[in-house]
Amino acid sequence: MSSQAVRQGLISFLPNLRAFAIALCGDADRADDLVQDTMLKAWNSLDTFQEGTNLRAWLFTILRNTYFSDCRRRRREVPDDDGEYVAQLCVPPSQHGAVDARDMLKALSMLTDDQREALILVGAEGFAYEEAAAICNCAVGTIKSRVNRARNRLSELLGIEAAQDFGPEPTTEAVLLRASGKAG
Amino acid sequence: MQRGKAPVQHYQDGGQEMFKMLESETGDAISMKNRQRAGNGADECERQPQNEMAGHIVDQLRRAYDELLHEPVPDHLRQLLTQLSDAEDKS
Repeated sequence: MSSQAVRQGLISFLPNLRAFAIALCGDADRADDLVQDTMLKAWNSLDTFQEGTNLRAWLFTILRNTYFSDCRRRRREVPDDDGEYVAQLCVPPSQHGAVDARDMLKALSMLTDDQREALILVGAEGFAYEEAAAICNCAVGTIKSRVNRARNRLSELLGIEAAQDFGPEPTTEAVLLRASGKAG
Repeated sequence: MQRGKAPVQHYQDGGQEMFKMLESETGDAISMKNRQRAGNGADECERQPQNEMAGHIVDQLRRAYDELLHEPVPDHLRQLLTQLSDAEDKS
């Protein structure tokens, strides 16, 4: 693959890599560092990329490996064993029925690393389970299970227990119920 | 935010509890086949809102992720690619 073609590929996937990095680490500055490291690694490992295979999946694999290496290094430097820092990030949605990006990022940060990456890859980036499994280096069944658990946990964190929760906010709902004589 | 559970929660056991109650009241034996049918029906009832909710969660996730995708990429990341490309051309 020519350097020009890779460069074009890298440019076209930059927004995706950055979005994935932000969703993984929850910090734009750190995400930019991750994307930069990913680009450098990808550029220096071009000879290992097999032409005709999925460039996007290859780049995402490099990024997630870089992220987890970085996490291991950071854990040694700044321990957060009690999870106090992460707990501070847990805030219920500011507006009922609508989850903005910030709320979603906070909720995502409360998931385990493997659940978060599985949900983002499949749910947000649209990778097939098989592709996500290859990126995360695990079985397809494991990815399916992680996505399922992540969705459930996310709905708990966002205070969503049923699809109806995307409807009117509680006060409005109570008024409507009272008006229709269903609540005492 | 704790809110009321959906009515389908009553059938989490696949409708078996409901059948036990009916049996004790009427004394009628209900075949296993019918139990399974009813159990499957209850599972269906339970699965549908769960799937619906999972769909809503993913929709919300995609919406939030789209916002991230549309954020401008910092110039230094784009410039890095140009620098790498130029460096390779020179070598």
